[in-house]
Parts: sequence; structure tokens; C-alpha cells
Amino acid sequence: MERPSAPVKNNGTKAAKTAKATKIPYRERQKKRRELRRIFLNGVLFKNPMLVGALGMFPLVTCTTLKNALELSFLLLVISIPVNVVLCYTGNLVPGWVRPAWATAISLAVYAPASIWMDSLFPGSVQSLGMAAALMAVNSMVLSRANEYAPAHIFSAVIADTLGCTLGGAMVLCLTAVLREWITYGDVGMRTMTLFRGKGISLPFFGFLILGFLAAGVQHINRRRSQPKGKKVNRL
Amino acid sequence: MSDFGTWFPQIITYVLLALSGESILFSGAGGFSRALRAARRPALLRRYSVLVGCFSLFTISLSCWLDPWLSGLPRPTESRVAVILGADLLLYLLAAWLLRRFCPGFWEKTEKVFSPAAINTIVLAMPFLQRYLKLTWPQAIGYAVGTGLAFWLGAQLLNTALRRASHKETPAAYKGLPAALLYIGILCLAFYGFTGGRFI
Repeated sequence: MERPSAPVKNNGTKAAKTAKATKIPYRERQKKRRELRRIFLNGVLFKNPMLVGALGMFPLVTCTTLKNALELSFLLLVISIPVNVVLCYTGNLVPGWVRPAWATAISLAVYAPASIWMDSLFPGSVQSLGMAAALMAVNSMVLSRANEYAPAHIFSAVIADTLGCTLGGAMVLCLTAVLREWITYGDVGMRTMTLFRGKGISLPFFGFLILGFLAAGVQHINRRRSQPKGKKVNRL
Repeated sequence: MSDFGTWFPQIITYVLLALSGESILFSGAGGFSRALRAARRPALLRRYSVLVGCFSLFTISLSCWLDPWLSGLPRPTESRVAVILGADLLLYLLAAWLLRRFCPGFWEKTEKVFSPAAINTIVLAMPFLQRYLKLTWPQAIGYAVGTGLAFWLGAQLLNTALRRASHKETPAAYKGLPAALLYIGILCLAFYGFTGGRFI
């Protein structure tokens, strides 16, 4: 949903006015709502930034418990909304070559209070997440959306995209973490585990393997969606 | 000659360190997304890697210089990252402004990879920024060169992975990124060997 290039013209007939007052705005609203839903669902699943765009993989690959995943998801949400909103309004005011630095500076400015907030909600989380928390300030998912998507789209589309991408990212983070925690401990609880410590499936290689299978699942769903109805899609 | 005998082994040691045990790209997946994007543009890869090396050198030097002031700040982990990232951004803006003004031809060639290189430097240099910050000049040069080389090597491996993953015999659902991720997962195990049983 890109910014409109020119305002819609108004011809002043009564019929046109009636149509505008009743049908067109309703249709427009419905269309806009559908479009926003599509943007949101693209972020959650069909164009999931982690599984399709391979963005922001560092927290995903290193996250091994549900508690860590929830903490990182919280940080992702708290950082990405203000960064994208600010870039939506100011992105076009700065030259293209300054914009990446501008987006990163906003992300950095938001990161400091966000990490303090997270630490008050989940005591000791900043300590246990360590570098993974610090690197959320330069998360490629947040910065690429802020650089490329937010300045070219209207506010509601930016919010739908940000929420969709954050929810999609959080879902993948939590799913991966639950699987790893369950295999390691036999159950899933709110364990605090320092990142970058552990053996076997808590190592990044296992994160990549899970991610590969999840990405294959999304690719299969997208293939099925792109096929015309009634036509059989080959199995995996 | 004796100076050369002292600093050359240091440079080589830190190049190898950045390339293997401290390489965050495969041992911890840091900077992976940008490396994957770089791998999709092989024509720009050499320039990208050189820029990562240059930004690493400046950032590491700046970090060594700023460290005595940073250690006294409250919440040292967050404030250290914030100050160094801020310094890196200023460095990027200064370098970009100078290039645009005095070498527009070079800027045009490197514009697409200039800001990713600057930001990725922070990610790739993070293990260093977290732990050391007391390197001598030869060690800093070695670490920066090693970081650039590690990035180049990583992106080359990813490029190969993507090409192989797009082979016509690959099952449709796995073609491209999914198969590349599985390939990289197995490759990570090899890098795990360099780290001696820990990662990052």
C-alpha cells in the first residue's frame, strides 16, 4: 500500500456525491482493510522475514529456551514499532545515503530504554541474553523494513507490516526455542539459560537445520497458493 | 627487522583468529543475513569485504581508544555497544560524505554496499568489542583484515550453497533458501571445531 501519488479528483454531481458518501468510502474501507490484512499475513507467514527473507537470523539460531525467545520477541516488538513509525514520517526527509544511519540511530536510541524495560519485566534477561540482546539494535529485519518499506508506505500499512513481521518473527523464534528446549530437557518451562553456552542441539547448527525445514514448509505453502485451483501440486 | 619479527606474527595470529575461532558468521550466525544478501551479488563481494575490513579497522581502533572512558559508564554492556555503534555511524556518515564529495565515481560503485558494510562491522566485531579492547596496532590490523577475509569467505561459501541449493534435482519445496540453510547448518559444525567446543 504505497503512498498515493495524487489526490483523488471529485466531480460535483449529486450521484457522485451520494456514491462517495455511501458506497465508495465503504468499498474503499473494505479494500483498505483487505489490503492491511494481506500485508499483516504476508509478514506473519507468506513472506515471513526470517523464513523467506532470511533476515534477523542471529537471535533465531542462538535462542534455545522459550523464556529467551519471549524476551527477544518483546525486544523485537518494542524496538521495531517506534523505528518504523519514525522512518515512515521522516524517512523521505533525509537523503537516501543518510537513511541507513538515521534508522540505526533511532534503533539505538530505542534500544537503551527498551533493554531497561525488558530487564524490569524479566529480571536478569539482559545479562543472560548478552550479545543477542545488544545485537537487536542492528537487527537486519528491523533495519531493512525501516529503510526500505516504511518511508514508501502509509502509516497504517507500516503498522500492519511491522506487527505482522514481528509476530511472524516471534512465532518462529518461539517455535524453534520450544523444540530445542523440549528435546534438551524433555519439557518446556520458563528456564533461564545463558545464551552461547551448551552442547548438541543448543548449538547454532541445529538452529539452521530447524530453520531450513520451516523455510521449506513455507515455500511449499506458497507454491500451493500460487497454483491455479484444481491443479495438482507435486509433493515435496 | 626485529620490529617486523614482532608485529608480523601478531598480525597473522589475529587474522587466523578472526577467520576461525572468533568468526561469528558461522559459529554464531551473526551478520548472516547481510552475508547472504552479499552472496546474492557476487560482483560486489570483493568491494564489500574490503569495506568490512576497513570499517572494522577504524571501529576497533576507535574502541581501543574509547575503552578507558567506557569502562566507567553505568550498565557497561549496553553503553559500550551504544557508544561504539554511534561512533561507527558517525564514521560511516563522514566517509560517505567525503566519498560523495571527492570521489563520486568510487561512491557510485560502492554505494549499495557501503552502509551494510558499516553496520555489519558492528555485528562481526562484536565478540571483539565484548571481550578484548586492549589490542596493539598490529593485532587490531590483523583482526580487521581477518574480519574482512572471514566475511568474503563466508559470502563465497553462501554463494556456493545457494547455487547448489537451486539445482534442478532439488525438491521444489527445498529449492533455494531452505536447502541452503540445511547446507549451512552442516557447515556450522565444521566451524564449531575451530572454536574448541564453545561458540562465539
